[in-house]
Amino acid sequence: MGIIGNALTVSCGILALAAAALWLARREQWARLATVLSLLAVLAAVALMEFALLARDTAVDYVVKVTEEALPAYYRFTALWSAMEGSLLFWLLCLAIVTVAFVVHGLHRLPPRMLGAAAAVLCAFVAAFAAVSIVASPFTLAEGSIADRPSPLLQDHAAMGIHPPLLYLGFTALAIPFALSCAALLTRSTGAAWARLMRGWTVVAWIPLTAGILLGAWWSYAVLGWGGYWAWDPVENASLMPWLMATALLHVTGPRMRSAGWRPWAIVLGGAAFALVVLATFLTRSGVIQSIHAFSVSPLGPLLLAVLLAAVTGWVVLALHGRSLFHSDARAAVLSRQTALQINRVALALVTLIVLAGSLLPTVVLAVSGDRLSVGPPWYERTLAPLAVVLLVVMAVGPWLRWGADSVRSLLGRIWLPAVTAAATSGVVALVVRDVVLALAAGLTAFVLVSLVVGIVRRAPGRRRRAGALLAHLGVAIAALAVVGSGIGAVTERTVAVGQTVLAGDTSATLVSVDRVDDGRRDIAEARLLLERDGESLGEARPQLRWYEEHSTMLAAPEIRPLFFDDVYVTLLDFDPVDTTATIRLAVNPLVSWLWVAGGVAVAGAAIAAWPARPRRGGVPSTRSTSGHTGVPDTAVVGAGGAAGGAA
Amino acid sequence: MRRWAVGLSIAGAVALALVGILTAVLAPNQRGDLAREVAESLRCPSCVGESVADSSAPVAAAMRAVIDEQLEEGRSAGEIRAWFAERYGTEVLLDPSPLAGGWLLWLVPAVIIAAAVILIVTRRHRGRRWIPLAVTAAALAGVIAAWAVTSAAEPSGSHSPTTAEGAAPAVGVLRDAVESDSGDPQLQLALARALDDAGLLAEAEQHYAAASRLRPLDTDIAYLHATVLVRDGRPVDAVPALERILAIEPEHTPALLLLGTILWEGGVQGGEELLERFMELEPEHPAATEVRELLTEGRT
Repeated sequence: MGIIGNALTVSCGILALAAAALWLARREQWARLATVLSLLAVLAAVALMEFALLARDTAVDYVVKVTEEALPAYYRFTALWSAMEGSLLFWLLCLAIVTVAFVVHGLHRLPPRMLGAAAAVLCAFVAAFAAVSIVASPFTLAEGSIADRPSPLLQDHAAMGIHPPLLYLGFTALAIPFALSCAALLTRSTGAAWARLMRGWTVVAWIPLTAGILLGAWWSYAVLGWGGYWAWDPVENASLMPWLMATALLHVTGPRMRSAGWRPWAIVLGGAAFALVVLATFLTRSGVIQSIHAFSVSPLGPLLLAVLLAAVTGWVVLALHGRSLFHSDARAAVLSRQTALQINRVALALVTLIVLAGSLLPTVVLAVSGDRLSVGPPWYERTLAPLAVVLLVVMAVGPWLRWGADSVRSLLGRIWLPAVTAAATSGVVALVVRDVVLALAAGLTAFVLVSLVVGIVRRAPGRRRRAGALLAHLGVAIAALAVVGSGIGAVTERTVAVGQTVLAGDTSATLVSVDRVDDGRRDIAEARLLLERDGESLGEARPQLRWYEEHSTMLAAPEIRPLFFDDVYVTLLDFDPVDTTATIRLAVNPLVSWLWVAGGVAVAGAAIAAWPARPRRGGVPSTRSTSGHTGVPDTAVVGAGGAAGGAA
Repeated sequence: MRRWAVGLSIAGAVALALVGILTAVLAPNQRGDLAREVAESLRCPSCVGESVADSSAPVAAAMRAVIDEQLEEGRSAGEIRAWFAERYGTEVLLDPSPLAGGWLLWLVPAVIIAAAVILIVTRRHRGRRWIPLAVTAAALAGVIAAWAVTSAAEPSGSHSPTTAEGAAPAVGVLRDAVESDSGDPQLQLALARALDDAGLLAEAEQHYAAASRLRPLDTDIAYLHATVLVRDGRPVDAVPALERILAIEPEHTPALLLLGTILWEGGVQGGEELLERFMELEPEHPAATEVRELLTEGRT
């Protein structure tokens, strides 16, 4: 079985390499065949592995490594991506799927040369990751690595089945903008079809990336028990950077946005997004950076570094070849939509660079001077807050600006309604909560909400897309509000006996009992607490501590009681069965659950905005709207064509 | 008319915003207490990517205790951070100080932002050289001033030493819970213990009794029930509970000691026997010498 699996992976690599050569040689029929066959080969390899995992076929080393007798079928299935070797195979499958999807979708939409060049780049990536997968060799593991079992954290939560696949899908889909960027540079041309596909595939990557990142934040919040959702961990950053690039790319490639020097930006952002994805893969799998997400040290590091360097070098060589595309002399007035878009992409690029610096500098400093430095949340908060403010303000006001040139007087005449609502909301929130930053964030959210309502109510061409994009903006605004709000919580940690109380702010938790149960796989300690606020019962909480004997690992299972304005978050930190005392961490986390809602809103907005329009009679729908003149906020997310929907 | 209404609403909203923001600015800082802010800026040395504030590791708990201690001694947040940096190395600072080798981490973002500003401004104003320079200088000065202000502004939250809350609020909560579900032995027991802590022994006794009725085989509950009766001055009433314990678990030494003492003091037969059994089982018990004296006293 192991030999068949390895043979399938090898043949996937060879077929993909052949496909890349055939695409370049413009033997399209054969190239298509080889591309599809390479997908089938890796699909068969993954099916074989899944079969072995579900049947717990101990002849396959990886199965021994990641599963155990009592593991439920669901976690056996997800075990494919719970350790490094299998996750690389799964990664290869995702990449092969998006490659075939791109070829099928782009066949009659892109000029043949462009399609061939892009497909060749994608097939080359499939071949490269097949090589990585062969070295990782999940079917026949090296002696030492079987004992190196994955954390029980990856067998403890349903999100394991969704969070990694979403991220892998988003990451690998970003290979398409990279390939399109290379294709444009190689052919020294772009065009409407190219831009449509660039945009469509960026949306296809952006939606699962956004959902995946937020699901990961929620998982961390719901499981790890420290009460936070984002730690500025280098690997979290590695997923954030491609997302930032994809977000910038979305705001560059919309049809009406293609007026403010968009082409060089689209090409560079498309290249950077996937380069950062490969960097993330390298960081997580090489042991270079210490992080809870990192897999162990392995010989794959140098190989992945080689893939990264090859991708970046290849792109730079192509950029020199196609440098004529970088000339752009688009000019616009200072107060105009173009400027807003310019600020948006510059600020997103700066955020990405600063996050990159924060993730890599400690490692670089350690290697160069031997000094150990830590870069943590306070550093990121202080360096990124000014840029975040700029981005949020531009996000709110930008859709109200006119193309070409605008005047302050006319702008104020248009935005008075959202501005007044925002000011009033800020005032009320400041009076009630007494926190300036939260009040301003609430004002911003109100501004975007009113913009959305105006965008929906007033009839103008492109209403659906405009509403979708404004809905996505509303999601971002709510997320900002939630992030600000979650900083004003209360936390108390205390050891209490049965009948005693922990108090955080105006919320209390009274310990009723501490119990222990053994469910075969793990030894569970459970505290039973009564929650109360202002004399009203909030019911019971039963936080747990789960001891995994086989892994000698303790996991916390906090209990979260989501209320409208805050979460009551109870963690059991320690217990003493003899004295029946428990150490309880009681936290009140304002607005955190709004973050999950915000993610849903943003994703829904993006999907609505990018959903392909029904083809109208009489040819291409006009993208010229009168919005700027009728006082409708317009995010200009118009005419994504058939790309996104067709691809999704 | 419409212009008039718009103007009025704008004025009203602006006034509301100003009043609100001013009250918020003047209100005391509520962003957590100082101890937590200091803990959030320190790295837990034995964990991966967790701050001292969030980690449940023993070393983090010890560091939190040190922070509390030093704040009570009147040290500032900066002094405490420096103290930890000296002991654990600069690595412990999550927000590396520009002075202690972390200058690169502050220089790089500044350079990135400066480069971006130069690039944009030179492209907008080709030919007029002083404009990009002036704008860049202004932007950089702004960024540096912002950082300087935020680092100079020490966390200003208040610090209140963690006080141990009494059991008083617990009683109310538990009483409500017992009222709605009086058949839950865990709730009865928790309420009994809360009342016990609060010194309401008579009421506590009733709930120990209730818990004991619901869990007749639980000797721990029965023993708690017996002790509260003794402390409440009703040792004789404790006898049935203690006898039940010994029926279930004949070698329950605390019950042997307590029941033996009660019977001995009451002059009832059998007390001596129980105390002797206790001595056999627990010769090293701290109460053993007293019991021995008691027994010898009785014989003479």
